[in-house]
Parts: sequence; C-alpha cells; structure tokens
Amino acid sequence: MSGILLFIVLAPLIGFVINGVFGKWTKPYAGIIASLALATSFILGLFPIMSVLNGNIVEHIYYTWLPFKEVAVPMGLRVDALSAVMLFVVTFVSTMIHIYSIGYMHGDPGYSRFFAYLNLFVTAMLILILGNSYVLMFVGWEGVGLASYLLIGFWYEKDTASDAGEKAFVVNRIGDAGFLIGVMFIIYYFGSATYADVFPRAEEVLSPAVATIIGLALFLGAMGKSAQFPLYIWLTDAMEGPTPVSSLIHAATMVTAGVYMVARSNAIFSLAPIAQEVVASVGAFTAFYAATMALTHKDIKRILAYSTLSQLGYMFIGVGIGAYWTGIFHLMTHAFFKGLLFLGAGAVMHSMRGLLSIDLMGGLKKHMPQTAILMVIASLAISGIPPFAGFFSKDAILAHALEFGHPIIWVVGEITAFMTAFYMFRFVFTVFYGEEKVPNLYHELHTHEAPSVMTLPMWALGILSIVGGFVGLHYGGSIPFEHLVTQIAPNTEIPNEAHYSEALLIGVSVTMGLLGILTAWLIYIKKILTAEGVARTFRPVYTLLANTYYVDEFVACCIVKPFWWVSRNLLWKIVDVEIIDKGGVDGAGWLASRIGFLLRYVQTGFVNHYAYWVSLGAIVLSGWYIVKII
Amino acid sequence: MLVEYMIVSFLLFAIGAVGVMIRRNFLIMLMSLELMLNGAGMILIVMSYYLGNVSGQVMFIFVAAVAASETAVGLAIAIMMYKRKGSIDINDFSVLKK
Amino acid sequence: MVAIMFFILSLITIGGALGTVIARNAYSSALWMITSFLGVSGLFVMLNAPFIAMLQIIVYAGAIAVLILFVMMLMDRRVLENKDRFNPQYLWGAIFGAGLLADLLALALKFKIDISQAGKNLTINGSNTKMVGDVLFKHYLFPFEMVAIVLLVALVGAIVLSKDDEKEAR
Repeated sequence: MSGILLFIVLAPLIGFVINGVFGKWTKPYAGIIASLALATSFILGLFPIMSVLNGNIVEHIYYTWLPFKEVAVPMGLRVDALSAVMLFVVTFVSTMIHIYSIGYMHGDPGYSRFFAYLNLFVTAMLILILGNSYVLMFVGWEGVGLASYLLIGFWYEKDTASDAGEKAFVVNRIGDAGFLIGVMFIIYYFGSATYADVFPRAEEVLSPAVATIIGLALFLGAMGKSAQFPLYIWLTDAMEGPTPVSSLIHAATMVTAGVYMVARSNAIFSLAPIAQEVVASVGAFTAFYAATMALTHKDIKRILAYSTLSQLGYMFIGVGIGAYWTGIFHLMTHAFFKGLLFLGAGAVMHSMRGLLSIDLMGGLKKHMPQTAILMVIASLAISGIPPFAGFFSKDAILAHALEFGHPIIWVVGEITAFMTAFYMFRFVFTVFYGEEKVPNLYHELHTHEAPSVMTLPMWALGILSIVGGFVGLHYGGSIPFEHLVTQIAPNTEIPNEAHYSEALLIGVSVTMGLLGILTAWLIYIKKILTAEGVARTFRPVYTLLANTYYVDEFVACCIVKPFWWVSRNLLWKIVDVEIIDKGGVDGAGWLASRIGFLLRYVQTGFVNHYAYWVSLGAIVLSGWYIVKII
Repeated sequence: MLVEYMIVSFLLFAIGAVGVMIRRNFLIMLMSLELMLNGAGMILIVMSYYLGNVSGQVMFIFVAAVAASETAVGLAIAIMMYKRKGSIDINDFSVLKK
Repeated sequence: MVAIMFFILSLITIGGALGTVIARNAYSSALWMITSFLGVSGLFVMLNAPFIAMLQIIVYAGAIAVLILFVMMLMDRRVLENKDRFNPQYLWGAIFGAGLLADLLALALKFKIDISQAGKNLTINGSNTKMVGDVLFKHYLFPFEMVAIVLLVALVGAIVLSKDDEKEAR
C-alpha cells in the first residue's frame, strides 16, 4: 500500500516532468499523457479509499525530512476519511478536466506547457491533501499557489493575464503568512506538526486563548487560498486563465483547500469558539456579499467566479459552526457542479470564439443542446433543488446552522440561496433560452456543439451532480457521509442543540430556490419585469453592485496609492538613493576597493602561495579541533 | 604499534604537503599530491586494521580512484602548460592574479 | 621481527617520500615516489590488507607512476631539470609543513580508540579480497557507481583539456 500511496502523488509529477521537459516532442500527445497520469492516480487512489471506507487509516512515513533535535518533520502520506473524500474529488475532477482540456486547449501554442502546469498543480494538491503534517500541507499549499499563478498567467502575452497572476500571488501571500504563523505556533506548542501528534493532544496542550490565536492565524491562510472577504479580490481576476483552469483550480479544488484545512484542524477550532464564530461569520458574509455581486455581472466567467466565492462562503459556514462534515460535503458536491458549470461556460466560449458577455448570447440551446441540458442540471444543483447534489449539502449546512444556534446565519444563507438560484437561472435563461440577440452571430462564428472529448467529461460531472448528494441521505438512521467524515472531524459539541422539523427546513430551502428560479423566469423569459426596469428603479444599488462595491477602487486608492507614495517618496528617494545607494552600494564599493588595495599583496598569483594559505587554514582548523575536542 | 603507524602516514602526508608547497616543477607537485593522498589512504588502512572493520579498505579503493582521476586531469593540465609556454615551472604561470 | 619489518618498510616509505620532494631531477623524483609506494604497500601487507597492497602496487606504483613518466617523455629534458628546485619562499613552505605535522602528531599522540578488535573481521574464509568485495558491493554499491562517474568525468575532462589547445594552434 505504501508504494501505491506514493505513486498516487508521483504519477502526475511524472506527467509534469515528461510534458515539462520534453514538451517540444510530446506536444501532440501532451494531453493524453497528462490525462493518463491523472487517471493512474485516480485508479490507484481507489485502493486507499476502499481501505478507508472499511474504517482504516492508511498512513506511511517515507523518511524524516528535517531531523532536528526537538522537532522532526517526517515526510509521510496519510489517507483518512477526510483526505479520502478530497482524494476522490481531486483526482476524479482533475481527470475529467484534463480530458476536457484535450479538446478545449487544442491548437494552443502552449499545449504541452499547459498540461505540464496542470499536472504540477495536481501533484501539489495531492501533497496538500495527503501530507501527514502541517509542514507538508504547507509545501502543497505553496505548490498549488505557484501552479495557480502560472496558469492564471498562462497567456502571459496578455497584460491583464500576467497582472492577474501577480495579483493572485500577492494576495495569497497575506494568507500564507497567516498560515505559516499558525503552523509555527503549532510546532512551538506541540513540538511536532504531524496530525497524529497534534490532534489527540490538542485539548491538554492548548488553552482557549492559544487555540483562538492558532485558529485565527490558520483561518487567515484559508481566507487567502479560499478567497474569503476581504482577500477574495484575486479570484475574479483569476478568470483570465484558461477556462479549464478556472474550473479545476479556481472552483473545484484549490480554492477549497482552505475549507479542507479548517476541517482538518477541527481539534483546534473546536477548542476556540471565537475563531469558529469568525469563520462562520466571514463565511456567511462572503456568501451573501458575493451573491449580490453575481446578480449584475454580464461576463459569464465572472458570474461563476462570484458564485464560487458565495459557495465557498457556505462551506465556511459549515466548518465554522462546527459541523465539519457539512462543509466537506458541500465542498464535494460543489466540486462536481461548479466544475461542470465552468466546463459548460468553457464550451460556450469555445464555440463562441472566446466571447464572454451574456448580452451577445441567447437561444444557444438550439446549437448546443447537450451543454444546455448539463448547464440546467448544474444550475438546479447549485440552486438547491432536490434531488440534485447541491440540495443535500446546502440543506445540511443551513439546517446545522440553525440547530447549532446561529439563526442569523441561517437567514443570511436562505436569502443567499434565493439569490443563487436567481443569478444562475439568469445566466441559463439569457444564454441558452430566448431569442438570438445578435442576428447572424452564430452563423458567422459557426457556433456548434463542443466535441465529445469535451462533452463526455461534462456528462460524468453532470451525473455526479445529480447523484452525488445521495450519500447525504438518511439510511437506517445515520447519514453515511456524516458517519464517514465525523470519524476524523467530529462535530463540535454544542450544549443545547435546538431541534426543528426537518420538513420545515427543507421546505424553506426549496421554496427559496424555486422562488429564485421563478423570478429569473419572470424577468428573462416572460419579461413581465424587464431587467433594465429593475436596474433603473434601484439605480444606486445597481451601480454599486455592477462596480463590485468599488472594492478594487478602494484597494487602489487606499492601499495601493499610499503604498506607492511611501515607496516612491520615502523608500526610493530617501532610503534607496540617499542611504542604500550612497551609503550602502557606493560605500561597499569604496570599502571593497580599499580592502582590495591592501589584500592585493596577498594575491601574488603564485600557486605555491595559495598552497601556503590553504595549509595555514588547515593547521589552524585542525589545531583548534585537536585542542578543543579531543 | 598504532601510534607508529599513524606517525608514518602523517609523515607521508606532511612531506607530500611540503613538496606541493615548495617545489616549482608541476609534475613533482603532482607526485607530492599523490604522496599526500597515499598518506590519507594509509591512515584508512591502519584504522581498518585496528578497528577490525573492512570499510576502511573499501574507502581506500575510492581514494585510489579519485587519485587516478586527479592525476589524469593534472597531467592533461601539465601537457597544456608545456604546449603553451614550453615550461612546467609553476612560477611561469602566475596568472591567477590577472 | 614485526618491529624490524615495520622499521625497514617505514624507512623505505619516508625515505622515498623525502627523495621525491628533494630530488633535483623529475625522473629521480618519480623513481623515489615509486619506492615510497612500494614501502607503503609493504606496510599494507603487514596490516592484513593484501588486496589493497596489490592494488597499491598496480594503481599507484604501476599506473600512476607510468602515466607520469610517459608525460615526462613528451617533454624536453631541460624543462624537467631546471636549476631552481624550490620556490624563493621555500622556508615558509617548510614552516607550514612542520606546523601541519605538529598538528597531526599531536592528534596521533592524543588519539585513543578501542583496539580490542585489531586485526579481526578482515577476512571471509581467510580471504581478505572476498571480504572487501563483499562489503564494497553490498554496502558501498552506490558510492562505487558514483566513483565510476567521477572517473568518467575525469577522463572526459582530460581529453577536453588536452584537445582544446590543438584547435587553437591550428
């Protein structure tokens, strides 16, 4: 089993090396090589997953990485219930998206580079989820950040793309600093960063205050990686990357790493109610806030990006209230349907030659029937309509929020559910239904259904978007998914758990979803209310939303500008020119030339003289050794 | 006997070192280097005997291999020197300061 | 008997070494060096290392010395027999050498090890060669391969070094 476990991680790495080093020659087969590598990982991953389903924890330590006296960091891989879920999601969704990319990226000059990066990403992601310690998780954490940067700026000739890559990197850095601080705290208090050492002892070692600090620091990391308010600004710009990247990295897997990390650290978070409260509140706020922004956007990828933010907010509600399994559950279903939504958007872009605005589309159902059906399935899933996957996970989160005593979060979540349904069906109705908006556009662009290498992976995800939620059903009094995940991430114990009628909660959720769909239907199909009319009535709100709350402008004027000013006037003109240049650089040069002038007499150029110096050094060093040590 | 053996090998090493430092002929410097390596190798054999561990003898094989490579490269350099200036006096090659 | 043998062999070794360093002429230097190596190989036989002793004769006294003599044959006699044997600053060399020796002698005198195993574990079925081979290929296989690469690199380096010059000459 240890070999299998290692090879799960190594397979994509081998793909990366093949495509990265020999990309010039493997170009026609790059996609196939990369997909095969991922498929290998996926199939091998089933073995440890089966073992975990039988109640085992598979852990193998390969060697000790940093054998310090007090702290040893073993390099090992671990599959338990939590990472098994992630392993399944990551390898499955990645495989599907790799196959999809064979069609989507066809003909791109950077074809093999693209697949090399994708494989690198999956390697790092697998290290992140399978690592048996926080240190290894951090390695993967940085690795996925790197891969994300490379892939956002994949079309680096475009300024916007390379800028977006940089923005993602810089914003993530803030979160990474928090994560690193959290890990250092853990090493300081536990003397180890391995999960097996940390979690069983968490209760005896950590006082609530320390647990809160660690929890908040770790959550700062999660906020960066999972794009929670206010560190979300990179995610929408990240849509500059190729669409499969948006799908894989910025919707299905990487951005959920923060959720996984919080769930993984459940032993710490459960000791820190304040940190949990922060997690849940930030999650709820982001869910609401991002959903409002998704209402007005016209760029199909940005709508989905804001929707991703919003759904990540749900996941953080789940893990923040202490019902970790619900967050993980939503993570899984979200990976299926959001991956599918992005792939669908990619298929639309593919056939529309890269056009993104929903204003130009309409009635695409005729030209792309399969994509249209899949998009409707995914939208129903995200809107929380039974029996689609999203319903079960979202309902689990909201029901637990209410039961664990967070009524406000529940209300916010339900309103967000309404908005989610509305903006998703706004998307679906305007793009796939109704009339062609621009006459003859489709004819000119030769709009057609995506090739089957793209639609088949979409169908795979589509089927899972339908049935993926059934693991959250009651079977004989227990929910299998809950039973699985709570082995590793037990719910936080809440003193007085409230109980509500399940039917009532489901009723409210479904009603909210249906209401959203109905509203979208009225506006965009029946045109009883026109979108323009609504926008005119709520002009200030609309402007605010359409400009995404002016956050980018705020950041530009209140953070970036002062930073520039300080950099320019203080750091450049005074510190750099006066102190560093005149004092440091010129001074160093002056000093070196003076010393060199003296030392010149040492450099005779005669080899024997150098031998003298060497032997002098040897005499002194070995003399010191003999006197001191023996 | 251990101390005597050690002294012999250290003498070999030190004489080699002196030879490297004071001779002008590059080939003789190379030979002195061989003496130094042999001194170092000898201490391996001595310790191998007195510790009852054959690893030292294996290490000597590695030392011999490194010595052979060093000689090969050194002699190539010597030939180059001879071709360039028609001399192998090390003081004709005080170019390291340039 | 052993002490006498040791005395004679170490005398050959040290004398050969001194001769190498002092000899006026590079040829005699090389011959002194071979003498010294032969003395060392005799000492190896005394130290229960017959295989290494043979290796010493073949590799050092044989291959390396012959290689050096070959190179000397390529060169002009006058080049090898220059008037000034030593550097102008040979005194410094001698002082540093003496310092090195003093360090090492201090080490030799202070050094204490457990010698209860002396002379044991060096053979399998009475064969030292078997034992060396056994350890070399069981425990030191990877370093052994690395040494092979070092030799290869040295070979390539030597060829490149002596070849480049020809091109320039043309």
